[in-house]
Amino acid sequence: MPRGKKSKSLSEAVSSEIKANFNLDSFKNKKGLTSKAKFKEQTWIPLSDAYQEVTSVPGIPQGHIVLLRGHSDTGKTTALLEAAVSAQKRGILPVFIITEMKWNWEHAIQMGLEVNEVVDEETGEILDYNGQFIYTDRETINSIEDVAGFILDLIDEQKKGNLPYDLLFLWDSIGSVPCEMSIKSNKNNNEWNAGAMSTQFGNSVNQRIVLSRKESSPYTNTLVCINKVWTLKPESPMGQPKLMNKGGYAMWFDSTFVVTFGNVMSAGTSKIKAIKDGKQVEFAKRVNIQIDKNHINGVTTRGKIVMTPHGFILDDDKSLKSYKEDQASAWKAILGGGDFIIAEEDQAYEDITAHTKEPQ
Amino acid sequence: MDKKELLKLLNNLEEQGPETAQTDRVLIIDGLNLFFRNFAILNAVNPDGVHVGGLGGFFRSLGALIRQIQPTSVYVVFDGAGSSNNRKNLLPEYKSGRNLQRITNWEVFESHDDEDDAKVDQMVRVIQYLKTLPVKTVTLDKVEADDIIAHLSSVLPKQKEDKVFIVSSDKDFLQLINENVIVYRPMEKEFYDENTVRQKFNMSPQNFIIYKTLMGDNSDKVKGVKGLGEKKLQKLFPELQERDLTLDDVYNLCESKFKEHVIYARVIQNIDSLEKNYKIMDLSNPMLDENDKTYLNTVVDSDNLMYLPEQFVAFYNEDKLGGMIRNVEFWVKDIFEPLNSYNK
Repeated sequence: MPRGKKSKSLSEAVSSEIKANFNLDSFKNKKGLTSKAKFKEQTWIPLSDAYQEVTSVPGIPQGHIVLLRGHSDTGKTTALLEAAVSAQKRGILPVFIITEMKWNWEHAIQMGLEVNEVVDEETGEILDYNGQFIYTDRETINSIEDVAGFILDLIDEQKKGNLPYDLLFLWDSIGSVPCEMSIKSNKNNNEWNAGAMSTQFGNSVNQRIVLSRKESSPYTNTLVCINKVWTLKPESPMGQPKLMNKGGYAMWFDSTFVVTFGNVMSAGTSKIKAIKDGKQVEFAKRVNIQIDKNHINGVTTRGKIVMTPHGFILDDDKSLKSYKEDQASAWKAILGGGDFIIAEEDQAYEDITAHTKEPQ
Repeated sequence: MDKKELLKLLNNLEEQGPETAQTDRVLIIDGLNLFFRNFAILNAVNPDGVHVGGLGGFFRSLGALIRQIQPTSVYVVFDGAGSSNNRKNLLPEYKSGRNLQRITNWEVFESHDDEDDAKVDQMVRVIQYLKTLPVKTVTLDKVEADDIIAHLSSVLPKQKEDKVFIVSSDKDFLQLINENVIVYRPMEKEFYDENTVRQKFNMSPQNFIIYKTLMGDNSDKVKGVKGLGEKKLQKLFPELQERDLTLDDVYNLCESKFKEHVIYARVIQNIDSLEKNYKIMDLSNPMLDENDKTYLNTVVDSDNLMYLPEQFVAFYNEDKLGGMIRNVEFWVKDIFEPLNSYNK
């Protein structure tokens, strides 16, 4: 207990202490709480017009944790690539963390990603890809801890001034990589994996990402994750099945922006095809898209969007016609020229098994 | 429910009129009184050997009072610097001889001065803790806590149902009791309302000032009528039980009966000193000037008090109060968060 000056009587001491104004600034100084509290103005990495139209938000909010979730083949990677292409155009460095090895460079290039092909001069074979991005995959990243370490390493380099870019981390996908303990025991344990996600990301990486929103941070970093999902069986015959995130809910809790693609019990897509003489080109899929969580500006919407190999387009005749005209020459080459018809396959319900707990 | 019953119910609802406003429950604490009781009773030292009984006990008591009374606002009132000067001008011996004796006999204090230093240190720290809580800490130079409490208890009840709880072991406050004001005497653990005063003293709270004027107050060195004790007062002044009296009423009674008992004669003989007693102890006219009242009214109207529970806990840990309050993090939020919700 601090000792006061003893010259004062009790009532004098009480009186002067009450009158002594509490000074919040000096309190903050004393406690080392003087770090700047101001956050940067919110900026967005814009996605396609169609995405903006359907969701009523500009794209991916910078400085946040963003989840793109849904069953397989519902447009998550399309959104991820749109974000990467848009970031690249704005000088933001895309960092691909591909732990689910379904990556396709052709698709990325088709979407507009600026990539340099490293070609063998003699054979003409493409040896590698490089350019204004960072790419890593299961060759070096094998566990949740590896992903966390990789992201933190880059943020540290950025802090040291060795990586002078805003970073857009693009992780495809949560739920596709186990934790160290699962690997060591050669047993994929969902609880362990979820625990590692919580420890590595919830308590550490995610906080580093969102801290970059503060004005005191020279760079703004964003983490976009594709999250695999599974369907939870309803508890009662009258209940509804529920879409669950693979890998636990640490990332869900920390994310401020969640987009769900497709339906709960199915991908819920319908295929749009160009057909001629029995030949067909499946050129687009119609899918439900919904903003499930939006702590940025509160807008939550749902609607339908059409995903193509070149990105999202609006689900209306005009957009489809325009896209068809743009792509006609490419399809003619496949379909053998002439007129072709656009056909839509009925809703492609792929039965998705509902589970009572997260499948291993 | 048939249609008729429903219509009847709806009509009744309309007749109930507008929703009643929430009633206020104000807790006013005589700060030094609460502190001294804890300081004198609790021989608690922290691991550094520093006595902390007054400090820790004060907040334990404050928490218990808030839990029990569940107030919507809390005032902790202290004597200001030079607070007894006004009354000393009227009666030089007022509160003389206080603080000459130690109030504890623990070895932790080597001397009277040591004890005094501890009082000041702990009391100052109490104020620092209070500043982190949504309570109003009030003091005024040259004004006693009694006068501040008296004024607050008169202005704080805004509607009939509002209640003001004064916490002090000082009997002077019993004269302030009315339909809105209740006094809690911690030593007896008893709430005094008008009925309690009537049961214990056979008089209304309004007559309690007459009781004090005639009996005096030893602790404040205010002399009463010589030879007058409680039993004799009840016997010689049965009117105190029957109706509210003024000091003039008492003189008139004594004049009409001065031959019957020497006490009546002594009252007549000591008119001047009894009038001084009355002035010194009458809290219905607190010794406050207009500036003081304006300031107190500003305090009443002010809101958005500071609430820094983490800082409270930081102080607590800094002072190594240990187990004086169990689970202090939970305690501070449990006690003061509801109070803070009114502080908007």
